Amino acid sequence: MGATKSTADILEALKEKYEPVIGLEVHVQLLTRSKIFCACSTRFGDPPNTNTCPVCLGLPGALPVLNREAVAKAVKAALALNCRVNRLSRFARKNYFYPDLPKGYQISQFDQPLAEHGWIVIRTGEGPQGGIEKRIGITRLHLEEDAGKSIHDGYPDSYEKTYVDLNRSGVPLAEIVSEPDLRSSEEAYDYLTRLKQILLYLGVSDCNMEEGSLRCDANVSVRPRGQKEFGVKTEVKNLNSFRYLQRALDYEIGRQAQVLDGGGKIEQETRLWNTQTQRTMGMRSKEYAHDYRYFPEPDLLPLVVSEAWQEEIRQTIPELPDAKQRRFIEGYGLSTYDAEVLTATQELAGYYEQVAGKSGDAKLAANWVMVELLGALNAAGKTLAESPVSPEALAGLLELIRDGTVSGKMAKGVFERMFAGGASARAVVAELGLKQITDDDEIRRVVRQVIAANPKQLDQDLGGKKSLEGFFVGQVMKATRGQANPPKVNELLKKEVERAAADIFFTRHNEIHSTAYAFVRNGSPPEPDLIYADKAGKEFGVEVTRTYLNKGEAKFLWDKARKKQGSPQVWTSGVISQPDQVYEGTLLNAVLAKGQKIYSGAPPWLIVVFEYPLGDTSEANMIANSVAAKLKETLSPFAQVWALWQVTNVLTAQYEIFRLT
Amino acid sequence: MRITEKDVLYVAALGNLELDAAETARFVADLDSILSYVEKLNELDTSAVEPMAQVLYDAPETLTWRDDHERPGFPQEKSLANAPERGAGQFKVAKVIER
Repeated sequence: MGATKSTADILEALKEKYEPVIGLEVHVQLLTRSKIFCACSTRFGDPPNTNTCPVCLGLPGALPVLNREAVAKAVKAALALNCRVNRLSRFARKNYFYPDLPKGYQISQFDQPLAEHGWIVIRTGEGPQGGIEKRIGITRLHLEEDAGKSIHDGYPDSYEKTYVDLNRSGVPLAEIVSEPDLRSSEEAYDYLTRLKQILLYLGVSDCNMEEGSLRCDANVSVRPRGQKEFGVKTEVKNLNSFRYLQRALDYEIGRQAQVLDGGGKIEQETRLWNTQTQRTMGMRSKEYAHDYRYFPEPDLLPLVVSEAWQEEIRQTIPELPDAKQRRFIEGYGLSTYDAEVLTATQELAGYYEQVAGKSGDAKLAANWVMVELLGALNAAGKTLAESPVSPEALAGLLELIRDGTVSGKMAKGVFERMFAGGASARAVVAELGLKQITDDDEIRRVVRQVIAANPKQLDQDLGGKKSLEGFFVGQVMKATRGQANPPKVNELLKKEVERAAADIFFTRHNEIHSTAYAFVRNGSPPEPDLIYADKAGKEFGVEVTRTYLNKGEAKFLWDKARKKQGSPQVWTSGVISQPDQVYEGTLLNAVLAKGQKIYSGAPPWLIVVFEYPLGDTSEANMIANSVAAKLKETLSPFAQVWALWQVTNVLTAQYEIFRLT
Repeated sequence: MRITEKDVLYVAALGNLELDAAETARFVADLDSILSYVEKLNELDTSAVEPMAQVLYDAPETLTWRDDHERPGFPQEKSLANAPERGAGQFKVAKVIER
């Protein structure tokens, strides 16, 4: 095949050949009321240049004073990221010119950062197992101030002017630099997701990407797989959404691999991700060497974080996602996947724990929170905080499921109403007149009606042609508007089909033997299932059992009953080469199995519903006699044993009865 | 001479300064004589002394920070008082060319 390879194929081949090496630099805004070096507000969205003062405007003579809370939050993050916090760190000036940096330098940290040598664990890959765990190193975490905001577009003179708002100037940032431990854009995505999750748990940042409180740059290089040394890297900027991060990295990885594969060289440069063109573009700055001329900031004293303070901050660190997940798995018996979903945010985890605690069923609570609640919130575009259903309300619904008031299916309808109207589960149940029917007599009455209304289906079921249990259950649920307790319906349906079979049997028996046996009531254990009586009112017990053939046997016998030849394969099967023996064996086993039970009162009758029709009565008679002969040799708790058969080519009666003992 | 013309032009470029030939020559001489003077300090053995970037090195921790209280900033009008050009409540500068 000489087809030309598609771009995707080429990229896939390059992916096999080259391994990406990625490190991320993440800037997060620390949640403080005031800026890092002055008392101006950090509020987002205020009118431009209203949260500014001589310090953040860079006016001559103004002096910075460090915000203690910014340090505390950065230390908290550093400790949670397993960093070593340096007792002494130092601020430095990073010098460069840009209109949104009024001082001409940014106060940052350089050779003595606040914290170093950390790591976090990411889980890469999807799936219920939760993927593979991998530890990603964190090189450093340091404090710095943000610059102002340049607006390049949107004004009539934007073609020649840039507008500058300095409200952001001096907002506290933590820069978190990872080791080049990431080996794919997916891992980079997982790392950023995990980092964000931890920072949100800590409450040190709101990590809002739209508002710029979480920003990400990446260092990317590729190398032939197997090579130890890193390739030349580029820095990719402007990766300010999770969506762009992966796309931009994939683009850059592909670009570098193509350059190397074509025998070219990667130039060390800064590239900007352009969301419009979906490409990274080299910035013009590349011909200038970056020389920030860092030097210690003389206006600020070295930053000392004592052991005692560190300890004090460590005490404020909440249970982090990893620990919470483990606790959910061990304490609530959840799967890794469920635990991961439910610990995605502290709010969700808290919500879940309340539901689990109040409802007393952790797994049921997990399912309802994950499937119904999150599904409904998602569909309505609501956050958890906006949920119309409180944890208490949801727990209330789960209680109704647990005590059998409503079935799981009914509960979904109730939940929809609760979500739409904010009412309690009990209120909705009362309003709709919903109540699961668990009363045996009530369900039995409906089951009887359904069976009586569908004689054809009953014949098919008893004839063994196909099971119509599903059909009958459906009819019962329909008749009760879904309110019947499903396990009860199944149980009573089985009993009532047996009862219907018994009625068929006695109708035939009365015809042939001029008796007048009639149904009296259901027995209650250890009585037999059914109680019948004769004309004089003398009661006797009746048990009904049904026999089944396996699928292959059934098909063969059906074909035979309809005068079709069995296929050669079937004929060679030892099991059913003698169809009469199959019938006999099955029938005999059914009687013997039933004979194990002990019943109160006089020995009852046993009726075996034999579900596969024979051609005619003489054939059935033969088998019945043969089984009867064998039964004579065994002890039986039954007064009489009968078989009930559907006979296919008898004109007058569909069912025929045969006495076995 | 330790300072070269190249050094001066490099530093000037980083500082966004345009120097003509005469100025360049003058800065070469000036910077060189300043550095030569400072060079004298190297005659002292400071290998056992920690470099000091800030005075008050041994200050108690509490001297180095403030609590996180906010205070109203300048009114916009005042913030922009020194702006050579302004619009929409912002500083207006010549179109920024990334470099």
